[in-house]
Amino acid sequence: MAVADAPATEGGHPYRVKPRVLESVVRGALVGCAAFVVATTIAMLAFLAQTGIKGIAEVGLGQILTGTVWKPEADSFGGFALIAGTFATAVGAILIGAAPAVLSAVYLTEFASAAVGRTFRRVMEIASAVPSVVYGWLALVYLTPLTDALGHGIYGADAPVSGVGIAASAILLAIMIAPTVLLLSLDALSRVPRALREASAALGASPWQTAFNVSVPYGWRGVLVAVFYGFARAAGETMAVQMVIGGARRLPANLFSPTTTISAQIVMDMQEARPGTVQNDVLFSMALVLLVVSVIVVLITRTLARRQGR
Amino acid sequence: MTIDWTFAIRATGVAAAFALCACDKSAPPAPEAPPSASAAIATPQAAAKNTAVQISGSSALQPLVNAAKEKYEAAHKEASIEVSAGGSKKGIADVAAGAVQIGDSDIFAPADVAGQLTDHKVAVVGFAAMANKGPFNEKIPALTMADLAKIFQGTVTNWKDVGGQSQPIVVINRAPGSGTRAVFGNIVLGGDKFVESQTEDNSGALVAKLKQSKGAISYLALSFVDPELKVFSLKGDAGAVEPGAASITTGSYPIWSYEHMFTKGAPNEATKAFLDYMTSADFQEQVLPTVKGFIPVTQMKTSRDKD
Repeated sequence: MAVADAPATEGGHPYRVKPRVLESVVRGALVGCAAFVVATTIAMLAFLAQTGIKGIAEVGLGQILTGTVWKPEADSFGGFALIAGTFATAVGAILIGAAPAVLSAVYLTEFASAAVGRTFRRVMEIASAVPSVVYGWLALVYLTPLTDALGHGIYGADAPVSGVGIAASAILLAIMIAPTVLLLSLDALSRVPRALREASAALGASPWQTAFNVSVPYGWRGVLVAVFYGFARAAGETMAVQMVIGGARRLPANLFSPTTTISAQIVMDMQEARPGTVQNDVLFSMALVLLVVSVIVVLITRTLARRQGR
Repeated sequence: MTIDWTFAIRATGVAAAFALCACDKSAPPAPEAPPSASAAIATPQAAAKNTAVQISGSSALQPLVNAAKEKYEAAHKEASIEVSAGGSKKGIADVAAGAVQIGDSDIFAPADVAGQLTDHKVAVVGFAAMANKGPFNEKIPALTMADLAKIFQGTVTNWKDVGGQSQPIVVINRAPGSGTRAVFGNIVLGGDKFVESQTEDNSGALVAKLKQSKGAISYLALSFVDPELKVFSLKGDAGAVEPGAASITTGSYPIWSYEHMFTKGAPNEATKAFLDYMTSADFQEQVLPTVKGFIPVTQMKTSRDKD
């Protein structure tokens, strides 16, 4: 409409002016909304950086990254156990959860009927929308007794192992990120051009050969993007992990021993952190560490995704 | 850092104001969210102006405050008492910051805020080591102070070393902000010298955790005594002392603390009325004894002025 009317308004009839005013108001509103979102994000990042850097200056980057004693109540801020816990649980989640998710996506795009694929996708969409506190609670009630039994099975009945720790958190996170990884992998694999599959079939390749010699090689970057995205989500997950990590601020003796993560510890400690104290600043430093890790992962993901586009 | 903050903030403000008035006209689905959000924020503020009393802090004191709240609200229809538990140190921090009217605490206020706060001692509470019940500890009725110190510092790690059967001891701590942890640590360990271990940030959740974790031990206020938990007496030179009102009021069981309700400055009318009720003879003599684990301050034959 607007495009068709545009040349006619050159004549300058009064009643034709109105749409142009409206147009510029709407345009201004949209720009304003966009500016608001960007400004909020920038302000938040700037605040996080400012407070986080202040915390680093107060305690020292070396201490925050490599110190092993985290006791804010005694002014000791060694974040190594927190960082190690975050990486261990996220890597564990990928090791356990990514392969089944990706292979399911391959099955759904290459082998399953359209009806099965659609149903599966709907179920996974629901699974990825379940709030994390629900996952955490279920894990606390049903998963930790199993990991407790597993730990005692491995280390012996008298061993100092428990149901909470990295094992329980990694399994829980694997279950939580699998739907997301699966959906993103599904998108990546369904972008494989139909012509390629048909050409492969025309050359006499079986569905199995087409899947692993044509589709997966074509879409692997997108699949990797899905996995990295899953990693970032696992590293940032807070509520559910806090319920099954145990909350001990030390490096764990094994996978069945309580420890903590950056996000779980921030939740635990922020209740007593009064603004303006070193404890408060250092908590923001830890948040900054988490953000930097996420940004690096996002950058890797973007680089991969861009090459995928070629 | 040379970012111009004034400009950044002003730019954000301008953008926000513009976006808000702009979005009102153009986005039909949006208005659904803002009204409910602003209503949620407005309600507590509006209520606070009238008669709501907001209380946060100690989860050990929470059962008593809840009991008082029930009776008080039944008698005063217009009153609204809101109680949340998040640890004694949070209670002190909240009331000092003016976020709540009353901060509940098991511990005396630290020196840096003590000057601004008024202490109302409403009860005395005893604390005890409590454990998961099992054959590994059924033959241990009492532990010495030294045994408890070794268990919670992590130097004794098996029930067989304190007279039970072989079973690893799983120490579960309260979070660092907990008054129960501060009191138990001060009296039993001479400070916060707990071994770093599994942590629960609420007494109620801890009870559930103790019941389900084999070999687990922690420390709780006597208000959380539960038939499914093993409660340890204290073994001393004169035999075992069972934790309870009798042994605490006479001073023979030392693990106890006052329950403080702190206010900042002069309390408002509604806050003062509720505190008056909690310290009234009627509440202290009629209601308080019916709430498990609490002892009226007036019955104490011993006293303290610091933790």
